[in-house]
Amino acid sequence: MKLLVGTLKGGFILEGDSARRNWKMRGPLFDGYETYDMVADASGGKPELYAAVNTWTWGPVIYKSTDQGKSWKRSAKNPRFSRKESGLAVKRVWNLQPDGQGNIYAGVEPAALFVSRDGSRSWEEFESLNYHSTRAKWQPGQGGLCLHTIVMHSKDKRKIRVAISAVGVLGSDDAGEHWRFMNNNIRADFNPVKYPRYGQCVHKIDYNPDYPDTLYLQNHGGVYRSEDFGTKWIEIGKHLSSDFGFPIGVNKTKPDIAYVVPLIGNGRFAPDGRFRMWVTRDAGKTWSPMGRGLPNRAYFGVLREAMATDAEEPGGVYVGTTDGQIYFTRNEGRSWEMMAENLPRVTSLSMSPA
Amino acid sequence: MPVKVYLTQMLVRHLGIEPELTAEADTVEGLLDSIDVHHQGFKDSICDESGRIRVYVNVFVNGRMLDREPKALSTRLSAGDEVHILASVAGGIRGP
Repeated sequence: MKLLVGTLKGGFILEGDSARRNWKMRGPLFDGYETYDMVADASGGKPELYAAVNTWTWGPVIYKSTDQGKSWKRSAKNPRFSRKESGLAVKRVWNLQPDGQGNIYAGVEPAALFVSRDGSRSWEEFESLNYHSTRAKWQPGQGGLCLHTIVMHSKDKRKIRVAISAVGVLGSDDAGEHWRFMNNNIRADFNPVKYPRYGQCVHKIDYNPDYPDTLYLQNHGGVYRSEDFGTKWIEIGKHLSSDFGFPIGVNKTKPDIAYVVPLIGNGRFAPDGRFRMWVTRDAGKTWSPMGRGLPNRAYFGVLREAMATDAEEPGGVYVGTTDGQIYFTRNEGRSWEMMAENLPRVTSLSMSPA
Repeated sequence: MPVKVYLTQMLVRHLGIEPELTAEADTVEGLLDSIDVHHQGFKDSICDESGRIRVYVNVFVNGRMLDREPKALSTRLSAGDEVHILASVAGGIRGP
């Protein structure tokens, strides 16, 4: 398997053996340009890799590899707004998401959603979302006004959920024709109205595709679970050391297991500097810290896209830090090892099956 | 009318394009469109979809730098003009 690693200075690929014990690294890719996401699309059998590369000079571009990452080709066409009069221009691509049917979705900054149905040769935009009637009131988070999360219902591809900072969750049940806010019960502590219709700063959503109605969400403050693909959210993070954090990961074989990285809001590091992954094994009823192999004095953070879970048994979890380390576990978190260090700031991690 | 175009090595590497080109165009936008026909993604690399020249790209016509507003793309060109497309100095890029 491969671990695809986006960093502030290019992409890397770590190739592991079947035991997930030894890993070989390649990179940096993309001429050292900021890489916010790398994903594998295995819908055609042999995985095709895509990377969201945000060059500081020439704009954001999508790269594609059809040979397991050995060579990459820059897409001539990239996600771009079609309404020139809007004045909108894509600044960064934050998130890439294959839907398992050969389509690739892209979430960008300023917040918008695009899809390519031909392997990144062309891109269409979701106009009813991108020019939504409330758009003028959307506020950016610290990272910008970004659409950073795309969740496709694995059994009904018409159902799409996206998360925007700081707007919250929007959903469509008709393949992107119409969108509605889905922030029911999600807090906005920074707002005089604690539960507004929109304006939440949702940080990340993850799920197990075999149980697509169950979503887990890390909010700016609060961790949540939904059992109906986002219609209602139940707060499950009150017993964490901090309910602030960025990524959230769900075990890909056992849907009641999820992982978060509690951080202090201002410093973006772990409480008391004790870097711990927290796990729930009962869908959020209880949480416990996992620290075997993790540092007791560390002041890095973990960005929203920088956690991945594999589909092995027992499940692997991979987490990349803002100081360039990658830690991983092969036993659902009972012990952790360092896979890589001295990388640039890690912006994304994801798995490729081959 | 033929215009001579000189490109920074960074752009040459990014697009796999020649560092010096000759193209026929009456305006800067026409020039970008003309080169884009043979090198897809060229125009998009220089200006965004709103028509603004990208923040870290500088376009010079006969040594005069264009501003970044969309109207800059309407700048007229004449035969024998020289256009330089360079990346800005940006030593303080955010890190680590």
